[in-house]
Amino acid sequence: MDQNTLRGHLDLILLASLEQVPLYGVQLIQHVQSLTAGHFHFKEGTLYPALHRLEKQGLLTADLQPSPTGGPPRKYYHLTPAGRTDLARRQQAWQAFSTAMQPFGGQA
Amino acid sequence: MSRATDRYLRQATRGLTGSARHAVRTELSSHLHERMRQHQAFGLSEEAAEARVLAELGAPATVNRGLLQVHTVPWLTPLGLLGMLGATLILTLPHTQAQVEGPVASIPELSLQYVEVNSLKAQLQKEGVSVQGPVDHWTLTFPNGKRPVTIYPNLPISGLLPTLYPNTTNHKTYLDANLMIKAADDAGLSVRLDGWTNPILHLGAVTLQLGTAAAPTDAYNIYAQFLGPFAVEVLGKQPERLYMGNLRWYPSPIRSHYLLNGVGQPGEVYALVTTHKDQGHLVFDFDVAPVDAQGKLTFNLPYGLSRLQLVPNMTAFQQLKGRDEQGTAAAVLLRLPNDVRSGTRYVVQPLHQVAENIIE
Repeated sequence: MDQNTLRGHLDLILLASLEQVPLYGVQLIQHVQSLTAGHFHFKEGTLYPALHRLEKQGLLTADLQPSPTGGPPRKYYHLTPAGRTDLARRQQAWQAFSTAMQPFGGQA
Repeated sequence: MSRATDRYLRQATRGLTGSARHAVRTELSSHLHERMRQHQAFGLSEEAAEARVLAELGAPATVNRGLLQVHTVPWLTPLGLLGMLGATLILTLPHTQAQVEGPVASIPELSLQYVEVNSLKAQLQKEGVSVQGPVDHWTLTFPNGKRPVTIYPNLPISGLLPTLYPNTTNHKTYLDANLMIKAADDAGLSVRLDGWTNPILHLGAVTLQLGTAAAPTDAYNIYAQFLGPFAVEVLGKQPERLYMGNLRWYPSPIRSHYLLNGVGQPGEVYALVTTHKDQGHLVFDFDVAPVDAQGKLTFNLPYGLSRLQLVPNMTAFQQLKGRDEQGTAAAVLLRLPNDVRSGTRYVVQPLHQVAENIIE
């Protein structure tokens, strides 16, 4: 897949990753890398500004929980109701785009 | 905190103030701690792990630019920000892996027993297992299996680490070997584990040797999984989360050593389990060990108790769990069978005396 395609859908990827279960930063990075079979490989520090932005937009909320490994507390991100709505909208837009692209050589 | 980490955090949070600066420092510190532990588990020294994590985080100036845009710049449209933040991402394609047949590279990491995916797939196929689909939902068809079984290593995400782990240190992907055991079990096959160091896993007629001569492993994290059903039985219900503690997963400067004599046969595997309460949670402290050639069992637990009171049955353990009276806690000795064909994961052992108890 074109890297720019993935790059342009960062918010969708992050929101969808948090749809089922709250995750903290390291977990989220590894989850995204696993689900995209390694294609989405990024400098890990760049993810945090994106998460903070989604938090400021009210699409995510976060809470600190103690680390069972003795380290600093982990910041777990959760989808808010607004985040779920936004995710559904982005998924529908992606589906529509994907369907529209089919006559031109398959799914996007 | 090392000088390099402190410098990185200062550069990454430059220009942020007050609570935002503190919150970002805490989050990045947590990231550094978690990732360093993972890299150290994969064989890097503390210094090398730190250098690796800082490199993976990316240039602190780049991280700082992204954070300043979020925390200090007047609010922009989501589309505009998406473009700016997207430009900071560096994407790479995965490396092609050579397939290796033979023993499967295997690394313990916390409660998981990671096996390298390509060598695992090659070995499974050599043994006649059909492996279909991508690794995040492999469908495995075992010889003589009752049905094909699909594994879902990312759903749900459980425990401390993903059961599918793309390692950015060596660009290899790892899967928890315990998923293979569950898959074989779901396919109606017998499961047997032979040996302790570089154990051989028998899944029906399929044989997998975990670990290599160059990178040996042991059976600890596979036997440790058997303690999950034990803890559930002690609690009398399936909790939302089990709290398990041992020195392998969570090193502690305080530790107790326990030596038992005359238990079982050399090679048999046992667990010593006790409990303590921490912030309202019942924590199961345990260690797993094989009987050595002299018939001795040595366990290490992550705190100092003047003595453990070994109890002979489940009922007594349930009644005394979580109590710590004058430095004494109830403990139970379990035999962990290497053949789980009958569904038996543990057998409570009758009373034994602790021959030696040393607290560090």
